[in-house]
Amino acid sequence: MLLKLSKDIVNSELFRSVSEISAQKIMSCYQCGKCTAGCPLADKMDYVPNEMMRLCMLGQIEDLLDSKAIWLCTSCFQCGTRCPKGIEVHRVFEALRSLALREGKNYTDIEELPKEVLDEMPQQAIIAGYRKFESLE
Amino acid sequence: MISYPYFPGCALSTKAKALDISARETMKALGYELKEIEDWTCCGAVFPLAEDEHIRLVSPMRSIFKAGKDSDKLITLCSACFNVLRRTQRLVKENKVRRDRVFNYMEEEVPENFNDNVKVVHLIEIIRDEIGFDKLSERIKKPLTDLKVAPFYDCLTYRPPKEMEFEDPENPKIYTNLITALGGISIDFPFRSECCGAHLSVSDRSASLDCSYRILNSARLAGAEALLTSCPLCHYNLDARQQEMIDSKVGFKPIPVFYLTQIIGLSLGLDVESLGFEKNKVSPVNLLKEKGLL
Ligand code: SF4
Ligand code: SF4
Repeated sequence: MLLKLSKDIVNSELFRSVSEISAQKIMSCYQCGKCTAGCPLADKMDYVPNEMMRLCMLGQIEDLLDSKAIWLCTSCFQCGTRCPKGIEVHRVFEALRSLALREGKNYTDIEELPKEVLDEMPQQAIIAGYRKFESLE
Repeated sequence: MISYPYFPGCALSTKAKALDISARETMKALGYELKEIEDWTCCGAVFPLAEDEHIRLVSPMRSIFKAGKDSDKLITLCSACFNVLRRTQRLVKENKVRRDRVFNYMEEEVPENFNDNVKVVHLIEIIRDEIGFDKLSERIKKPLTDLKVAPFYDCLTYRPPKEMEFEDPENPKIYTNLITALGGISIDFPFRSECCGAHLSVSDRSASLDCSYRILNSARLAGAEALLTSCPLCHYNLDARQQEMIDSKVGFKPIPVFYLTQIIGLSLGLDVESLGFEKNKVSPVNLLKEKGLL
């Protein structure tokens, strides 16, 4: 992948939003990969957690907002629990997801699930789905 | 009879009734009343992780205020409610900026002498810390002899450890000790603390099915005959979705998944009606009969 880098891209407004919404020191990641090693969904992600962190540091936020990875993260908190630099990686994922949702991107339509599935599934999943995957726009 | 305010949550009030009923009956047998707080509202299901999401803290805070009226504890046992309520209580207590924001939203809903020290407690903490597993073990009528149960340690009860302060998420022991105290055999397995796929079951059903399948398979390979969980969503993914695994994963054999209080209640000799086994999609009845427990 060819990345275009410049001071403006790296320190873009979007990067600052991710830092603010996640309240994490993204730049302190030293790419050890522990977050990815523990992530239960890493095998299905287009950008695994440490790649996501690296792309954030390089200001490639737009790319991440279009990724599948941000929607596959279950907020299981494994990455943040294991990060030796104390970065709550799950909050960085949440910030990206929030930005995508705030831009009006919708990942899923819960109402389209078959009725039998909705009837059985605990509310916890349905509400989490609305909160994490459906834009309010 | 000791009485504590209790937050059942949405799932336990409807789709995870077996967990709610067995918990109330189990605690009654142990001398505790779970007193449902009045007019509670959904905790919001997920703790707001975004630093600017203040309004999501209002609903859990409401229940904490209600519990604080006549107790310094709030009992819950759904892993999601526990995660949200415990983190909210801690954040509002420790972070003045966030606290002011939330209290501003709530205005007159904030009680004048608000009890800042309401501890959000998981039901198993009451059993472990107030009753004691050793004392529990003296009270069991039907030891789970020969029953091999794999304790499944969900994400939300343990992580993030700094906020939850529950047990070491890398090496939890609480349910292992519980199963042993109930006379059963606890089976440790590699995927005991992995995510079940959680709410991906609304969006990427096959991805979450893979996560749950990995867990069940790992438990079965380690020799388990059943699993144990206290999370309604883990239970849905691990129990209700086994039919899909039978249909799509070659060689998959179903395995019962107990709710926490179903097996405590069983070994305390509670009436089987109050344990709700008929609500489990993979019925544990044959297994329990085989072991002479039913
Ligand atoms: S574990 Fe922490 S330091 Fe290591 S790659 Fe992940 S975010 Fe970076
Ligand atoms: S919180 Fe998300 S990114 Fe982190 S380990 Fe869990 S699924 Fe992976």
